[in-house]
Amino acid sequence: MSRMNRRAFLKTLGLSTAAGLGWRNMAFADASDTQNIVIVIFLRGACDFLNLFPPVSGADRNLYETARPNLKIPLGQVLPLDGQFGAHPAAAPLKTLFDNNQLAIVRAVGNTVQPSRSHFDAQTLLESGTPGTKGTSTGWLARYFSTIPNLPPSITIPSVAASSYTPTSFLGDPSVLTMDDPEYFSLDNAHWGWDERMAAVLPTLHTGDSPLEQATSQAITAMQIIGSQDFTGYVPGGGAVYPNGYFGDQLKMLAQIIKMNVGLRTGTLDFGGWDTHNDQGNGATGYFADNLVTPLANGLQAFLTDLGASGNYLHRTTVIVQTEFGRRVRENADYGTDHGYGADILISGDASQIVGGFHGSWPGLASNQLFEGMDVAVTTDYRRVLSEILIRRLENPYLGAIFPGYTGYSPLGVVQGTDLDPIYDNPSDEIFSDGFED
Amino acid sequence: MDSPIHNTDRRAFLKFSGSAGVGLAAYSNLSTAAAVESAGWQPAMYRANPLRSAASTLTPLPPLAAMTLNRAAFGVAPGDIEDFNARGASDLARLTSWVDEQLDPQSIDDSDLESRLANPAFRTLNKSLTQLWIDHYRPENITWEERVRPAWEILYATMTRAIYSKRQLHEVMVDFWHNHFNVYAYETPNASVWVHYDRDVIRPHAFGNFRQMLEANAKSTAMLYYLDNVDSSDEGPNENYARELLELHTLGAENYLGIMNQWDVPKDSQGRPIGYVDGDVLEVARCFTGWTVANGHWSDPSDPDTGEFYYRDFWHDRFQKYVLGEFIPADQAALQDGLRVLDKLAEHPGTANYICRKLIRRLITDEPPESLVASTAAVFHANWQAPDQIAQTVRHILLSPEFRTTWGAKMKRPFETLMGAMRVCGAEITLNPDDNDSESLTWLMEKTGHLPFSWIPPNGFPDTRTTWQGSTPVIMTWHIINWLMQITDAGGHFKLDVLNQTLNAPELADPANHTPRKLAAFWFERSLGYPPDASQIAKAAEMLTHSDEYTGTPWGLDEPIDLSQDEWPHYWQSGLRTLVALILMSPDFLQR
Repeated sequence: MSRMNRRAFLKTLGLSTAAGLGWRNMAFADASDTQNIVIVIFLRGACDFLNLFPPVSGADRNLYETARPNLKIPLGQVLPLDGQFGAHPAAAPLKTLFDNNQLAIVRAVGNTVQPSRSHFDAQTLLESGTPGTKGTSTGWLARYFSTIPNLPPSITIPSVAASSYTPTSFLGDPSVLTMDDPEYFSLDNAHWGWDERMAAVLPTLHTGDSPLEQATSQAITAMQIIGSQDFTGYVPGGGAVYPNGYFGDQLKMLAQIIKMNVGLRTGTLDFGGWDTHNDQGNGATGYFADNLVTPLANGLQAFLTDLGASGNYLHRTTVIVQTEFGRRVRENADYGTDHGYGADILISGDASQIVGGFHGSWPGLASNQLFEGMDVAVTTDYRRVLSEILIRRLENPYLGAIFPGYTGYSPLGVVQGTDLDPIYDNPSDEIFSDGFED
Repeated sequence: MDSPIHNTDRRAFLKFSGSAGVGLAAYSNLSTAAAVESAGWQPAMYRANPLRSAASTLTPLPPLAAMTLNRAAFGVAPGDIEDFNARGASDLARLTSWVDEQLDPQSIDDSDLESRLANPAFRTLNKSLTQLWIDHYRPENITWEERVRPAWEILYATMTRAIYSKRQLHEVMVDFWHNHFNVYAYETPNASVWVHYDRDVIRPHAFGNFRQMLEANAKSTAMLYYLDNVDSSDEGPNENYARELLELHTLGAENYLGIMNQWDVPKDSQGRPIGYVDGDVLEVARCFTGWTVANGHWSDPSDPDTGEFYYRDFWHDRFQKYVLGEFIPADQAALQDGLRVLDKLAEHPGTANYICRKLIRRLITDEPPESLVASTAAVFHANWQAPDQIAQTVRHILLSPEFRTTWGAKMKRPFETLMGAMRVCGAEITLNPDDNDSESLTWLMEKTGHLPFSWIPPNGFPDTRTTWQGSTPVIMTWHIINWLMQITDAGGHFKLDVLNQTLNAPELADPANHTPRKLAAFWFERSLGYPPDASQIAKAAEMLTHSDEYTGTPWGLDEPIDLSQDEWPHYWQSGLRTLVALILMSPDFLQR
């Protein structure tokens, strides 16, 4: 048991250890093991996918080498994938996943409604799920959760933001638990003669109806839940080794929460530092290789290995890796790359669920193929990829509520699953206000 | 097919539709004692049948003194309320007097703060930029701690000022501008020259002229490195600074028209383009080529390597440019095209709107009313060349009716909560890089997500409740409050000595008044600047009815406790400290 000891926790709840009501095994009422889970890793700062999966053949290879005389990944170092594109030399675990049918890479994805080269605009537009409107007050994952059919009456932890902050994709969902370090996530450091008393009284001060009190009472609930769990001494399954550092720690925590069977449905994880305007490096070493690609590739592989080692966790989990936009094709004078447009989305999970390989339509690198003559064009709306995960993996067809205004969905075929007819009506449209009030 | 929305949530879903017609159910759960004790109750983040009603947006207005000190200052220090209330016969008179004094910081005696900053542990605060560069960045054989020392000293000086400075509004505005012109401090060379960025770039202009601040910023060593303009040349322009100059420092993303030809941008009645496009970003980048730092660049034998701003003419793109609807001819005199860009941006009404909306968001509400944005922007724009432009703008906001009639529309962020807690408790705390408790505080504050100068992207810390109300910032802030309440100095005295302040309070002079209810009422009023609802006081007082170790008949809320002892089983003194911590964890204290 972690530092918030069980004795204190049970006393908080007005229970005694002897007469515990099921807490001894720390099992929760909704110990559900059938729901599907989506984990969204957001590469903040705009990932240079052109160097993560560089072209290795044809005209695009020459165009790539011309545009990136200093930053190009030399052919001798690129890890082979499908003959057209290869993988960055620090991404060997991604090649393994690719070869094992556990990685789908959709190329040239982005916001087709309102392109933006602003990090903050672009992130907001993508995460709100309304790519033409910044003012949306809720995020696409929040609306996904609110449209899940047949939820149980209570869920211990339906959603986790492995972060200090609530990401835009979760805005508006009060059930999200944000946490990046369970070890200090407690108030058991009050005076030892009073800490249990404080824990018992604190919730009573937060019973009002203001938005702030609704949020703080949720924070207290989160602390009660996390305090009852043992996060220390976790041994990842399958010999998985998470990379050192924040990203690896957060991934491991998400794996722990998935395995706790607390009803998790969505998790988000922010991985920052991808805004490589200078000195990004050009091969197996350097900032991009060491600080970004290596932890991303090793972390993703460890996460899948860990979840796949027991139970049906991996079978139920789909990982989405996205970024706000790609980077400029031409390198800049500072051995870096500026803001671009088309990016990739990576989908990863169990080999039986993923249709591995490259997907989407590659627009090419010739200047007349580039967006504004500068950037990889966008050939696939990002909502199309996410909608396929929603329908085929999460069995949620309410695209109109999750991506208002989006129509014409058809699957690209990046994952296996049953196709449901998309429902484009948005329940917050006025037409829905009749008949839904019951 | 079933309806997509759970039955119980539908009404709320529709009611809480967002601005894009995209709403969410407002559910929540409640861990009341009654619910906790019911058989089978277990905590859960989601409940289909919420135990409480939908969020109310109506928060009663507290007295104006408390509203002001909790928004235009870092909370209520002992004596602040009395000082505010002695300033005039009406709310507006008192507020006007307070604001006008605060807007003239040199008129306010700050000798207590100055003596604290005279602590010899602060040994870089008076170094010139070049001294900082030579002492902390250039040497190869110094420790990392010495290299980044100026950043840590500014961090602790900033906390010390938030707690002790009488020039509170100035400190609030310095915090605002640090975030507006955000630079991540804890990497070199920025850490080594951080004293310069804080002292010479941000502080002198906090109430001054925006155009002058913008130029000081464009020429600052820290910003030049942070957004890569230090390396931007005609052969290799780097657009990072130019983009953020437009998007974050001046016009704002609200005036970014995205991907559009420059000549297609509509003009306003004065002939200005109404916003900017990517073409403007690239042209602005060309204007600032050659704006760099004297860092001994290998290509430039005359570079003096002082760490100061340096214009390298042979890096400058001398050809003609087209920026925001204006041709700038080729071969401008040194710096002139860059300075012209700053003029155009500082004068643009879009900049006035964007900056004023942010200021109102900081000082009043997460959802700035457009009418106040417009009237404030008019002041900002009309005075764009005035030396006290920002002071006039801030004054307009603070004296607006909206300031006096809006409450609870914001949440204190972790830094404001914690500095406020120390003000409330009359903390006697010495913060500097050579102090162990300071180091612990920093380490814990990083876990709240709100350690000053630690936001890595250039947009600064978020400023809305929805970002900060998540469980991590809330719980970690409270964790630190528990910690603060127990730290002691070398002599064993509590740094937040709430016991002596209790015993010394005139209304608590009689030990018969040391009842849980009266103690809770006293510390609530100290913390907030006003008494909350009586029921909230009673709930907090309940905490003192028994310690974890005491199993006898619960103490009565109106029964005096013995503050002279801290022994088993009551631990009364520790109980008082825990009560104060609990009050500082109340929602009332988090409201702004």
